[in-house]
Formats: sequence, C-alpha cells, structure tokens
Amino acid sequence: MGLIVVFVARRLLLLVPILLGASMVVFLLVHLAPGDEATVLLGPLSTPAARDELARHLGLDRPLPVQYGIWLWNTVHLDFGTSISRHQPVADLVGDALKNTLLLAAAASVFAIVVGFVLGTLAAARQFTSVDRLAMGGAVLLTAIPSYWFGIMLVVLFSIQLHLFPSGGMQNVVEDGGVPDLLWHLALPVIAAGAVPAGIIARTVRSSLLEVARQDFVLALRANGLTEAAIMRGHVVRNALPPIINMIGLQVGYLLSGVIFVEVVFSWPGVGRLVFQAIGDRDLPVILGVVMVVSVTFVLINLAVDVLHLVLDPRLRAESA
Amino acid sequence: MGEEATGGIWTPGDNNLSRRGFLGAAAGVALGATSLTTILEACAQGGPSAPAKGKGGTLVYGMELEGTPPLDPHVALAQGGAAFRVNFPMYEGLFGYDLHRGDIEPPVIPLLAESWTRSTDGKTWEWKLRDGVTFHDGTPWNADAAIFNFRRIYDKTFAYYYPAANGYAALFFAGPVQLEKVDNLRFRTILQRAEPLDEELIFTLMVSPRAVMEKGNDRMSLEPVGTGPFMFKELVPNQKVTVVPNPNYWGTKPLLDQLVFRPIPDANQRVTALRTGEVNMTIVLPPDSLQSLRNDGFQVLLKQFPHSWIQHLNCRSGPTVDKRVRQAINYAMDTKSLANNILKGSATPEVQVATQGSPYFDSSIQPYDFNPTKAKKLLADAGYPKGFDTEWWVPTNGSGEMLPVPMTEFLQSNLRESGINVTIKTFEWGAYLNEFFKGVPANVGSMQQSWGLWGSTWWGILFGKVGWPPNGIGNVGYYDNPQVDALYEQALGADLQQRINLSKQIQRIVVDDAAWGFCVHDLAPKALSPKVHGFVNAHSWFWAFDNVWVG
Repeated sequence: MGLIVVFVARRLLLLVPILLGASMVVFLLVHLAPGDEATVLLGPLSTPAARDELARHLGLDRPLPVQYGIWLWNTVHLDFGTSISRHQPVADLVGDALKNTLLLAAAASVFAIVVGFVLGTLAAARQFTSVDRLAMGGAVLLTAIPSYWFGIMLVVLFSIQLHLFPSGGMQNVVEDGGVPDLLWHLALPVIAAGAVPAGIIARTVRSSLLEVARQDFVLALRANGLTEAAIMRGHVVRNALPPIINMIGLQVGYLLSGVIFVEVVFSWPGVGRLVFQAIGDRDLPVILGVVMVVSVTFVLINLAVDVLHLVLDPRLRAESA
Repeated sequence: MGEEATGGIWTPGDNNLSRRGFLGAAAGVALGATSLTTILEACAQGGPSAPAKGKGGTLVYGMELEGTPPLDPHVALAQGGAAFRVNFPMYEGLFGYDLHRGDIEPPVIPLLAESWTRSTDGKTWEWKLRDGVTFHDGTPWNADAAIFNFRRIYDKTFAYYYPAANGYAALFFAGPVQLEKVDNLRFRTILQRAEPLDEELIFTLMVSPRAVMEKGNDRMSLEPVGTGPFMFKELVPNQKVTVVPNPNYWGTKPLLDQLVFRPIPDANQRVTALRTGEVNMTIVLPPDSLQSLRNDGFQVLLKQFPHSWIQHLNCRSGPTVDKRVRQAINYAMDTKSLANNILKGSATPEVQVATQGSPYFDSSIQPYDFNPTKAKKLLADAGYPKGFDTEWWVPTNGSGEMLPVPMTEFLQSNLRESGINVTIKTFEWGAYLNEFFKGVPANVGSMQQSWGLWGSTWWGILFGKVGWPPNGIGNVGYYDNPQVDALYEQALGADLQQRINLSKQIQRIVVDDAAWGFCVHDLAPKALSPKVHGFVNAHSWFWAFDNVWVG
C-alpha cells in the first residue's frame, strides 16, 4: 500500500510542471492570435476610447509577464477570475460545464464498457461463428462512424421521426424533471459519444480474452476438470484485464475531449462548447480555467488507471518496488 | 428650455386597446375569407395570429447564443442584439421603442420618463420621470435612481462606477455628462456639446441601485433587477434564463405565465428543437429550412429591420476612388439573386441604407439594378475598359454577418462578368475586427461589414470624417464628402424631425456617390409554433413578449 502512496504522490507532483507549461503555452497562444478581448467584446461599434477603458479595466494594458504573474498568483490562491464576456466567475462557469461534460463522459464510458464487454465476450466465446462475425462487424461499424454524423442520425430517427427522445439540451427547461428527465436527455448523446469507444473496447476484449485462452495454464486448468465457465470467470478474464483496462483508460481520456462533437450536436452545456466560445471571445480567464481543469482531470484519470493496474496485477507491484 | 418633446404620439395604454381591436377585426375577416397563408402574412405584418385573445402558457425561445448572456444591460449591450434581447423584457430606459407596432419602424415612446425637454442649444435635457414605478426589488424609481445609473456608467469618481459598463455604454452615448437633480421626479443631463440624447439613450436601461449596492457590480449579470414587464426567476448557466410577469408592472401586464430563453447555438438544431416542440419560437434560421417549416405549418416570419450587409469600398486609394467605379460595382452585383437564391428569400436587396418602414426611408431613391453592360461602360469611362484586379477582405463569421463567405463568393462571380477580378481574403471575426479598426489598406478594394443603424447619429459615424480610423469606427473605407460632414454637424444640434430630414439628405448623397457596395438587408427569419399567438414581428432588432400567449 505504501508503494502506491509514493507512486501517487510522485505523479501528483508531476502535475505542477504540466499545469505551468500548459498555462504558459495557452497564455502566449491567445496573445499571439490577432484581436484582443476588448476589441472582440465591443465589436465594430466601439470607440477607441471605450476599448482602452475596457482594456484598462481588464488589465490588458500591462506587460504580458505581469499579466501572467497576476493570473498565476490568483490561481494559486484558487481565484480563477471572472469571465470577460459572461461576467460570471470562471470557477462557476468551468465547474458547471465540467460537471456536465464529466457526466456525459462517465455515462458514455459505462455504455462503452458494457457494450464493449458484451460484444467482445460474445465474440470470444463463439469464435469463428456467425455470432463472432456479427459482433465484430458491429464493433468495426461502431468504431468507424463519426460521432458527429451518428449524433445527427440519432436525432433524425429518434427525435424528429419517432419523438422518443429530446433533440438536445440537458434538462426540461420548463419544469424540473429530476433524474428521469436527465437520463432521458442523456440517452442519445451517450450512444453517440460511446459508440467509438464501445467498438474499440469490444475488439480489445475479444483479442485479449482469446490470447489468454490460448495459453498453457488454461489448458492445465481444463485438464484439471474445471468447467469452461469457471475457467473464463476465475482465470481468463482476470488475466486478460490489464490490456483491457489500459484501453478503457485511453478511451475514457478520449471521451473527455471527444465528447465536444457530441456536445455540439446536442447543445450539451459542457466544456467543449464553453471553450469554443471562449476562444472566439478571446476570453482568456475561461480558456485558462478550462485548460487547467481538463489537464488535472486527464492526469487524474491516467493515474487512476495506473493505480488500478497496480492493484490488479501483483507483477507490476513487484517491478515498481 | 426650448421646445417640448412628448417623445412620440403613442402612449402604451390607449394605443394597445385601439390597435388590438382593429387588428383583431382584420384577422377575423382574413379567417372568414381566405387561407392560412393570409393569416400568417397578416401576422408577419404585425397582427395577432388568432382572432380570440388568450392568456398564459410558456414560451420557450431558442436563441442563437452559445450560452446564457450577462443579465446586466449595461454590459450585455456590447454582445449584440441576441444578448440584449434577454435583458429587454426585464428592464426599461427613460424611453423605448413601441414594439407593439409591426407596420413601421417602432416609434419612440416614453417609459420611465413621462416627458422630456431639450434646451435650444441642444446641450441640456430635463427629464420628468414616471411616478409610482418601483424596481422588482421594491426600490422606488426616482431621480436618485436615474442619476445612480448614469454615474455607474459615466462617473469615474463614483463608488459604484463600473468600467465594463462604461466601455459598453459608450457605443451609443460616450459621455461625459453632468447630472443635476431638480426634484424627486426630475433631473437634468448637461452635455458639453449638442447631442440627440432622445436617441442615444435608447439602450440605457435602468438597474436597481439597491441591488448594485447590496450585491456589487459583477453580480448584476447573474441576478438582474429592473422595472420591466417581466422579472427574473431563474438562471441555469449555459442552459436557460427564466423570467415571469412582474405583478406590479406599471403598464399592461404580460399574458404569458413564463418566458424561457434557451441557448441553442447550432442553427439546424434550433430548427429540430422547434419541430420536436422543445422550443416554440426560434430565430436565425438556415435559409434552406424556411420553406419546409412553412410546409409543416410553422409560422415563418420575415421583416425588414435596421440591418445592412455591405461592402466598405476603398475611397482613398485604388480604382474605387473614382465614383464611377464604385457605381459600376453596385451595378455589377446581382443582389436580387443573392437575396433570393443564395439566401432563399431571407434577405432583400439593399437599395438604400434605411429599410422600408423606417422614417429615414426615401422612396425617391432609385436602385442600382443588376446591369453588367452599364457597369462595363462606367468602368470604361473611368479608364478601366478591361476591368481590374482587386482584393476584398471578409470575416468568416461574426455578429449579424449571415453567410459572409458564400455571399462574397457570389458577388465575386458577379463582378467577374464586368471584368473586376476579386480575390477574397478571409479572417476569423476577432482577427477581422483588429484589421477593420485600422481602416481599409491601400491595396485592398473593400472590407465587408454588417451594420445596424439606429437613428440619426450613425450617419456621420458611417459616412462622415468623424468615422475615419483610427479614431472613428464606421467609415473604414474613408468615404469623404464635406457636404455630408456639414449636414451631420447640423443634425446633431437639431430636433428629431430636422435630424431625420438632414439624414435623408445625407442618404441621397451617399447612395448617389456609391459610398458603399450596397448588398442586402437581412429579414431576420423567425419561426414560431402554430400554438404561439399575438407575437408582433416588429421592424426592429427587438420585439415585445408581453402580448404573446401560448395555447
């Protein structure tokens, strides 16, 4: 256990240079792009005096290193500032959007894992049968469909034609529908976002299971008279898990950034939409807030995957020691 | 004090009654005599879509914004019409538009001021405020409240001065202004030069001083408190803003139970949400969707409003310095086809700056009809018998920009017929504005922009020397005509009717001079569910929700 604590601490320490680097790059990129916040915000009707006054108010008239220093100092004190275009605290805006994105990504992950495992296990258990070919054909199809297009098709079929699901948004805006309403709104975005990872996980599950099933110890277990089901449950699956978990970790990471397309199709109020608008508005505090939060989340998810490895696989623990 | 201005002939109370009766009768005749289309047309003309008057319901308005906008009118304004529309039902200014008029550009009516007077030199304005009005939080509306709002925007020494608000409000009235309280319901604004405050303050909406003092300037964007017919109920950031009728409203109370603003940034998704019933009104529609929405029984409304999508031709260098070349460009552009084929009828060719129904509209102005032969002749007269090569700059997106790149590409193909070879250079909106403010470079023939023109003050900004970069903002093509400058200077110190007359003179000159490449006016397509009644499609960037009901 102590080993894992040291491992986690080391990885968390690495976050500091990652965040510093990311924030500096973003800060410079936004300032290198033509057009400043005051100009974009005030638009074509603004007078130079008004732009100057707003720039002073926003602190844009100070040298870049000073602006960055101020931002860093405030951020270290957990003050992420106020959105330039929305006039709302960045922490609220990003926190809210991140919550929505994580919800969508988590639900899509669950969908992808369940569908992936079912398809992959079915295919592995019935290798070379029509079940296998059907399941793997389905998996390839899921992997190949762009989530943007798939989302639109889902809306056309299930919202416009069949009136089964809402076409977008996260909740009924007229009255509070609670959790059932939320799940109802989640259904289509989750399928659209989870399709590609589900296909990838299915293929990984199949190949990993089959690879382990071919190994000598499985033959030995079978020779000892264990049932196929018992071998599968107790031994094959467990041994096949590390590459699968690796792939799931990658896919969850992918979902965090990949759901942006789905957020666009379904007007899901998540991080993707937020940062897209913030870039257009040159809303630096929001852009930085999103980058910080997404970096931290990404690192934490990778960390969780690695820790899970250590827990599941004693060999890795031995290596790390 | 000089002449008395009552602020328009309409007062909200009696005007509503008589007009509704009239339109109700008109719609009744339509119902008996003709088809549904006629009723929809009547509706587009400003009448209610059902003869019987109902009440209640929830209007869910799918708006084109990425998220929920700031709900503080002093900062929301700069983010364009879309953001300000969410503020409009909750707030009022000293005066406002009579948005219940669908037939003409809404005239100005007194709101929080009952009347006002202007000194003969045009510098001192005295405002008599409406008695018995309170903000939604119970704070009384009076001279102190009015002065508080002005100081919040313009007085840098004030404890509640809000620099963000100053930047934004300066779009319309830059200040400075000296304020004088006369009595509890009277105050004066004293300017350094004559300015038409009875136009410039149209969007200076009043926020509750107590709310600002208690919550601070920034919180106003999240917890709005005004005097308007609707009051704030709920904000779910990025998802919705809900407002409900103000039970203590001084004027006619709204018919709706609630009004929900829901951001749906994707145009196709707004149409889908309307079709599935998730919203019952939406705007800024893809041109391709209009006919199919009509076929499926939705109300599709089109109306001219003060919007111009134009080309700022380079009047300082290159071939376009010559008036004949600029006229040739106007003859060479097939704006009818642009409006009808590229934009599927969601826009109309721009003959002059003002739109039909506007007091500035001048029916004597002749259009530059599509005429390549005439264009070629003018080019030959100007010494370009074989045409010329030029570069036009255009943003890829932006406020009120419609479809800037496909539209410019269409014009490019038109101009080629007359021998003008245009190379298009595109910019992202933020980057484009940066270039725009520097003015058109010597080697560039035109910079595209779309403008909303309110009242008389913009004529100088768009066509006068005062609009020249780097200090001016609107005349980026450096159009130069001393006659226009003189007329504008004269208009600033004149009363409203004179201002309109002088501006119309400016308009005749700039159209004849072909100061711009005149392209199209947007018709701002809106689509409503057949269950929405009473909506008046105002000839404006804004419209009222208080006459609307859903059922």
